[in-house]
Amino acid sequence: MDDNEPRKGAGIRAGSQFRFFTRTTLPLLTGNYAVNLDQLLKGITLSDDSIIYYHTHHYLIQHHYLTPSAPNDFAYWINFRLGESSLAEEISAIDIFDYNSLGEYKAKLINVISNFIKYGKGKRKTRETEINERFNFMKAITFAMDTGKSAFTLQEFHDILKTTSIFSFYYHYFEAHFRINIKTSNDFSMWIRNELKIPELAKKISNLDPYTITMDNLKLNIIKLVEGYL
Amino acid sequence: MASINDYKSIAGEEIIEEIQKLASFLKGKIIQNINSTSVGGGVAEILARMIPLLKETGVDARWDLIKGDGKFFEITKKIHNALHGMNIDIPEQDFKYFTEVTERNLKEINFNGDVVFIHDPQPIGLIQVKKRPGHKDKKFIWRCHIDISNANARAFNFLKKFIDNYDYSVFSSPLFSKKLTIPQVLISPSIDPLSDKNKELSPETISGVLEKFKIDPSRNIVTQISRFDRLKDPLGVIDVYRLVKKYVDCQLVLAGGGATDDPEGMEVYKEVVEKAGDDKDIFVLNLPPESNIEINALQRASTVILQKSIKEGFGLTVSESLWKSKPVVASGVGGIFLQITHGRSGLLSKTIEGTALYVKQLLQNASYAAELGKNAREHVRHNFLITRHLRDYILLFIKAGLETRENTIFLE
Repeated sequence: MDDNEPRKGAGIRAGSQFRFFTRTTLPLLTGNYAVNLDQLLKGITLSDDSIIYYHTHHYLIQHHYLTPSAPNDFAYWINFRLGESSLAEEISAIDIFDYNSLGEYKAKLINVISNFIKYGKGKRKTRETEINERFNFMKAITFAMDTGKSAFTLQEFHDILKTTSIFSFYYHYFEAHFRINIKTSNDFSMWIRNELKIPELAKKISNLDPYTITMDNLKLNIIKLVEGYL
Repeated sequence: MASINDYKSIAGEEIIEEIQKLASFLKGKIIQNINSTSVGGGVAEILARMIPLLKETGVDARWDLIKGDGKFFEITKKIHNALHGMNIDIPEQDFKYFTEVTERNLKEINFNGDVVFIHDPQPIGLIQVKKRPGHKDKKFIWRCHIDISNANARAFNFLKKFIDNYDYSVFSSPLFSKKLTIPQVLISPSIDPLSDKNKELSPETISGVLEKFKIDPSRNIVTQISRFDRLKDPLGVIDVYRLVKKYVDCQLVLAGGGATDDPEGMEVYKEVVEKAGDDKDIFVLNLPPESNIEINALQRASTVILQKSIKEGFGLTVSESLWKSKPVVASGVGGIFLQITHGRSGLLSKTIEGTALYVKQLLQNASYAAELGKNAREHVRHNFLITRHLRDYILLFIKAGLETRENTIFLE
């Protein structure tokens, strides 16, 4: 940016502050498990949103320093335990941000697996894993709390974001999608659009694909985008 | 003993701040831990670290013990082995004696906790206090530290009638999960990065240990640290080494304990020594239990670390090696799946030949090995350090004190 060009966001003070929350989870075991594709399908069908959410997101937070090759547990297990790489790829490629609810995503997941069993390679019998390689259906209790940090300006927002934990970042970027129920949005974009009135920055942040880069890099990319407006 | 602040530089300052903030939600609550021994064994070891750390964060954590005589602990040992899947016949009078000792402890223990955290099967019967006057508002949690996936049905059914009365149960691995009527929380084991077994060591200490065992530091070292136990497949490890050695020079270290106080351990140790034969590059080290610095040094000096277990609930030695940024080749069994993502934070194998192939790849591709090691350390940092364990316990105590059934809880 040219030094003489007016800074686009530096001087704006929001009417409402951005409060940084953080989140952490306690995993719960359901006692249900699958050792083959039919059982997995049945388990998914019986699963509530919290189970689907756990298996599509915990990988991201557990491996936030890695580029996820199979960004959800279903795809990972189908690939590495059942050896059905094409089905795993199809499931990995389902864009969760295309769905406004986990119920819709779950329906798509059921559809893909059912079709595979009915028409695809699944017409032949797929592998049955050993008991210690089983898919364990789990969910988690999420605890959200205020970090006590808040920003009124883009500069303050930038400075806090730089030091905030990956869990706080996850809460505002990933979980927000399902909490605010607006397609391709997140807490950061909402605040920047509505309070700082910088819609182009909000859009750039929303347009990042969070499921194909590491969370650490995603956070860095957002910080860099914000720096372009300071 | 390390303070909570000593973990800031390892786990991250924001993580310690988060733990302290979470702990503040337990202000005024008493967390009463009860188990059967204050020394010896994994549970006492964990509590001896956890209680001071909880206290330091402001949690009023207490620790009480049940009392039992030799006969009682012989019975609980039988129950323990039966829960591990051993085919043991436990006579009815043993269960009766277990109940009698439980009754005595129910009279003696002062149940002062808002949350009563009972560890393992020995004190499990204390849940009966819940039905007695003055205890209905307390929350009771049963922490199962052992693998009960193949439990003897008779032993498990005896315990199940107690388990069903708890508010929560806690297991160390998804594989240990059973169909229960109460919620089951997953809390994985952890390692302490500041303990003798995991702390940073000076190059002099490491070379001193290698010198003591006459291991050549200038050549590749392939290591498996584990008890001399058939389930750890030490004989298979020697087969792996021989396949590797056909193409890549290396030494093999098989180090562990358990050969002195366990008759089967001694038998396995002798088999390993016999199979190693007169190969001067195989080091079979039967170490005493206090050899934490030696194990730490051997892990840090290794080029590749193996964990060729046939069965594994949760491989603590795997986490220890990953924490030391070592490339690990482990069997794809049990809890090891939680610890290693194949091709990212280590390699998972099934066979002797497959394990040998991966070891050769790692010995000949230092940058690949380093990349796996780097990811491995990060994975442990975020998932298997004692700070995560501490946080999980605090979350569990908070949850136990709340009546909500919601999956998302806003703490204010």
